[in-house]
Amino acid sequence: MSRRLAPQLIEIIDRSQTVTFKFDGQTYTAYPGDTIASALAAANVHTLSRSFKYHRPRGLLCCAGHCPNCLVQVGGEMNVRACTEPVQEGMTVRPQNVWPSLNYDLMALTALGDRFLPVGFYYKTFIRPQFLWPVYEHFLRHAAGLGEIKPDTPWDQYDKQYLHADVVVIGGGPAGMSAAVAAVAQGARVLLFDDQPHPGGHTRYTRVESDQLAVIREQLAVSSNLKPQTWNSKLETHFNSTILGWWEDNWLAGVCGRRLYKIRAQAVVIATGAYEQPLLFDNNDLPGILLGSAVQRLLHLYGVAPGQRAVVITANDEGWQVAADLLAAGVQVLAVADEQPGRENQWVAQIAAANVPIYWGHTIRAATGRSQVKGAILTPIPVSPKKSAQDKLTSCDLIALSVAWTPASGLLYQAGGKLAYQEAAAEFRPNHIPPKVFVAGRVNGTYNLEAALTEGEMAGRNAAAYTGYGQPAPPINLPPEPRRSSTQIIVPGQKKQFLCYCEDVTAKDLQTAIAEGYDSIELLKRYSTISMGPCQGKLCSANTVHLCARANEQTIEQTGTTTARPPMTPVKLGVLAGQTMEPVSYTPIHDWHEQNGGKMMVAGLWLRPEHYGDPVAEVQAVRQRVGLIDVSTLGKLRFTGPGVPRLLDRIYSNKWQKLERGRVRYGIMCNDEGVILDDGVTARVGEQEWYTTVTSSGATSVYEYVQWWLQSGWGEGVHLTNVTEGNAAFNLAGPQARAVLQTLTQADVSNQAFPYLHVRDLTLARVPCRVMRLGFTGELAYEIHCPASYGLYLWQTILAAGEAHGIRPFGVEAQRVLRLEKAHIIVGQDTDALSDPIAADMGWAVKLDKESFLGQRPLTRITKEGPKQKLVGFTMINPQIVPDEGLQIVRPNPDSPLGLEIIGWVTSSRFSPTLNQAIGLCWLPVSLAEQPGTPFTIRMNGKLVEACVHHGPFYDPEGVRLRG
Amino acid sequence: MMNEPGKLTPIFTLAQKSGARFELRDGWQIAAAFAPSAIEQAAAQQHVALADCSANGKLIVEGTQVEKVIQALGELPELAIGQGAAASPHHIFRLRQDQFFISTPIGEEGAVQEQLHAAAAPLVSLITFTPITHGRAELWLVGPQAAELLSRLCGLDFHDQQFPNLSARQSSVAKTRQLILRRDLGQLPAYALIGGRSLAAYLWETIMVCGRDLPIQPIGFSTIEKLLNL
Repeated sequence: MSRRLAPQLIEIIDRSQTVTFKFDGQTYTAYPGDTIASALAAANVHTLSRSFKYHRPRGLLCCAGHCPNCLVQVGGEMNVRACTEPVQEGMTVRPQNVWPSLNYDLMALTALGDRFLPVGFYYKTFIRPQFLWPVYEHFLRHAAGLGEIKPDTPWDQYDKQYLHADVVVIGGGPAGMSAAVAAVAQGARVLLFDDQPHPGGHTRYTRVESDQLAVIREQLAVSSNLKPQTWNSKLETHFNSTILGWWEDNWLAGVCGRRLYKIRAQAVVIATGAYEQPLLFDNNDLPGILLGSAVQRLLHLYGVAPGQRAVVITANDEGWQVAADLLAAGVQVLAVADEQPGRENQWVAQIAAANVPIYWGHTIRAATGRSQVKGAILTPIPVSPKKSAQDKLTSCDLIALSVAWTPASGLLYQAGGKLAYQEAAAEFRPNHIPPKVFVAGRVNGTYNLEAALTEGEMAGRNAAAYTGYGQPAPPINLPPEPRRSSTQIIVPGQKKQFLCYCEDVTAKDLQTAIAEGYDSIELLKRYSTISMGPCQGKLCSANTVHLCARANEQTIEQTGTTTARPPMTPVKLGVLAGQTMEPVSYTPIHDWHEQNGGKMMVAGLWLRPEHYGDPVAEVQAVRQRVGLIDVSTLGKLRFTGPGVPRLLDRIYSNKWQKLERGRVRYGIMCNDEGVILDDGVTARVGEQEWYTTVTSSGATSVYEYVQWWLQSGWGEGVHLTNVTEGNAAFNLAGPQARAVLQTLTQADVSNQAFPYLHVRDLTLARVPCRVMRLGFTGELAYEIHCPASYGLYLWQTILAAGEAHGIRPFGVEAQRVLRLEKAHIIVGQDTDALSDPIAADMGWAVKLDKESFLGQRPLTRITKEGPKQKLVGFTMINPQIVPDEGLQIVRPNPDSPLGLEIIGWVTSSRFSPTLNQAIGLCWLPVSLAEQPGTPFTIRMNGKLVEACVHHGPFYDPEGVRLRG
Repeated sequence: MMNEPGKLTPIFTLAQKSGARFELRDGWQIAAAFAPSAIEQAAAQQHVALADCSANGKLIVEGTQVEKVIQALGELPELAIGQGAAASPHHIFRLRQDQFFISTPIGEEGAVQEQLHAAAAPLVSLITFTPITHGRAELWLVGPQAAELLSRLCGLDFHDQQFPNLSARQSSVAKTRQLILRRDLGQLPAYALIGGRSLAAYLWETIMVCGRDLPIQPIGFSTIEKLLNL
């Protein structure tokens, strides 16, 4: 039977079309604009899911996206709130937390043993015997949690957006709208956020209207009639958008669907409204018990009657309006119970005229029914602890609760606001508003529509004035508000009275916890997990405070409130992650590498070819013929100015003042503790121009390090530019390198004209290049730097020119072997955060006799005292065994674990195809390192293997080949 | 393999895969068009378009007396840091008190450098010229939704009040360092993202994914020139 009503004045569904969707295997029809919950309510489906702990049937309660009662699984997405999720054609919706089915859930049997499952039972029950914990864990993990994660769920696109405004208004109800319009009128740039799809707040479904509100609606529409994507509008409205939290300096985070907003505001107007609160009575979680505002939403926005026979429980005017609305919609109202002894408003007369029984001074003791509401037991106030002869059972299928409100003050708390309990209103009210924050509307206790509009206008004007637009509003006194919240929110009872719908915490649970000593509100929260579920305390915090106060015989003020923390609503991890953004740097030759079999490896942000299929053949090509490697990733710095030699003298450990134009020199850069930071070569390419290469990984850090010194007093006569990206760089290495180079230029590149450690600006294949003769690989080699845009052309041209000489591209792996054969270090691999050049056996690059340089003092001390460890080469006794890099070097010591003492470690190791043996570099105590041939032991896969110390390069120790 | 020395932008391969039509300009292979001109223009005028303008000349001039040198390019207003001005056909932006960025049409940076070099010759203080055309990519986001798209990638405020035409900011865009220049094409908002060449392909692809819903359209250099002359 359909519960759909005739078209309503303000409904948001489109009855001209229909959509079909599935819920729990059944097909249902809905209208565009329906939510999953409204469509199911129209189809007379009461139960949407099962509760977390006791698997009790749960149906719609708030219809506003606040409570956990309607969490469902939509396709692969779990914990979707059915009351706010628009229904879509073909959607597959399943209830959560049910086994085997929604209507017959065997897990509901847990309720039979509920006395063994009080709050906090998991802290006490499963800790002994300890060996059974894996068994407990297995079952608990299966029983806990909501929904089903499907690992094969396709990726969704998430993103983030940064927004800026003078004034951010949070809440699109009457006060928020009024604030936004007022702030815009004063010239401020305003962002308005509301979690509902349309502006209006409660006026959308309560149908209250005023001339002033109509004007503001019109102004809002005019101010924001530019589409949201029009960047320069004064007012941007963001609906279906929830502000998740407030951080220092009005830094807000918001979420809209799959987008995270990061918002910076100069001033914030909090007009977040209030949450309607449930009442604590027996069986207060049965499907068919709805908050009054939920009833109105269903009636007016979706044209759905939530029941046929209703009982309304109220403590305010809103409840009477709900009753009148139900009557107007054709729902039979069987009783209205008001805790007050009498009341005057326009609806009371309507209800009385319709001959609806009215119970003044009454409330509800219990709801009856198993899977849904069958009746309501009304009882007079004060409520007797046990059933009374005055109790009246009214058969019904709907209980509407309009008994209390609590301000939506979470963001205000986060912003540093304070609230105090007002006995007269039976609600918390702000009593301290921090600077840059303004408050208006229900969150401030202002429920009256005209007053809320006025207060909103004042807040908007004041916020705009705070940001420098216009003048603040003069203070005015608003009319006093009648009390809207009950002081009788806890009704004595015998059955389950649910305080926390998220975690199935009952009033009795809380009383037990308090009796156990968890009597402070913060402790109670942590112990019971109340307010820590999907509702984040929206429907339970206020009632918890009341109950805690009563149990402790304290006042509400003495009891206090819990801390409000972000996020205000559950947020998907995908939203927090946003779009995948992992920067990758490509050299100008990247595509060629990929197309020619390069196996790419990650090196910092860069992708580099590790090899092209056969690294041994690549090593042999360099040793025997010629090879070409892409070293565009090298850091490249350009120094200009007369002050450069002095600067280089200060930042490098060797001397630079006398380096002649056209010469290249290797240098080690240390920090002021003498620790090696980086190394590289510097070429003097002009009288006042120097070109430096640093390690690929050090490009940015060295640039920033040197910049720091330049800006700290060493910048006189020096300009520094990072030109890493501007030049592609290749190393042409091997005995045939000169022959290949010569085919590309008419310049004389003979050993006499272009000797080792010299630099030349040459034109190669019509491309302007800077060529340095270096020897990292131990062969005759030229490092060719050219403008990056010519990189691919020159690379291909060199390979073509080298074809006749057997040229072969080589990758990082071959380069590592080649440099290891020469015992050249790699900073960061062979050195660490404690390595100095003396210990690294590079004392030849430290000139202590120059004026002053970074690390001079510690290096002088180390030179004088001698290092404790040294970096040396080693060969293996069994030349076929290659120890892994990082392995420990040990010696026997009965006092150490395993009887072995760690005395060093391997930093580099490879099998050398040139020498046909394993070689490496390692750190050893000086006593072992000093004498070549000294044996030592490496612990490898639990076994001990023998190696011996080697001094100097393994290959071409005299350096004949690279100088040739 | 190319027979002539050819200059390739970092977007060359991506543009090739997208079916771009290329033209040779001053030795550069530039993506002239990705789609028919009318489609590209409409995309830029109605939504947002992305263009590779990396071949544009780019020059950094630095020195304590750099302001005097810059005047060689024409009568320029006094520029605050972050402000720019047109010195047709070039554009000049002040990045620091002692540093200017100059954007030139393709292939004209050499001539500009010579002109400035001559102006710097009589000065005693150190002036350094660094051509960065090859080292920096230049991606343009053009269209009414360009700011919307940028706000998804960068924390700056792109509102007209905060980031007017002919202004420059240095910030992170999609986790990469970029110099962002606002250089409207007539009434059409346009932003040039100038950043490391090696990261340009990543940035291009990230922007295309991020702007998919707007929708975003890659456009060629020819369309940029047409929009400039509208």
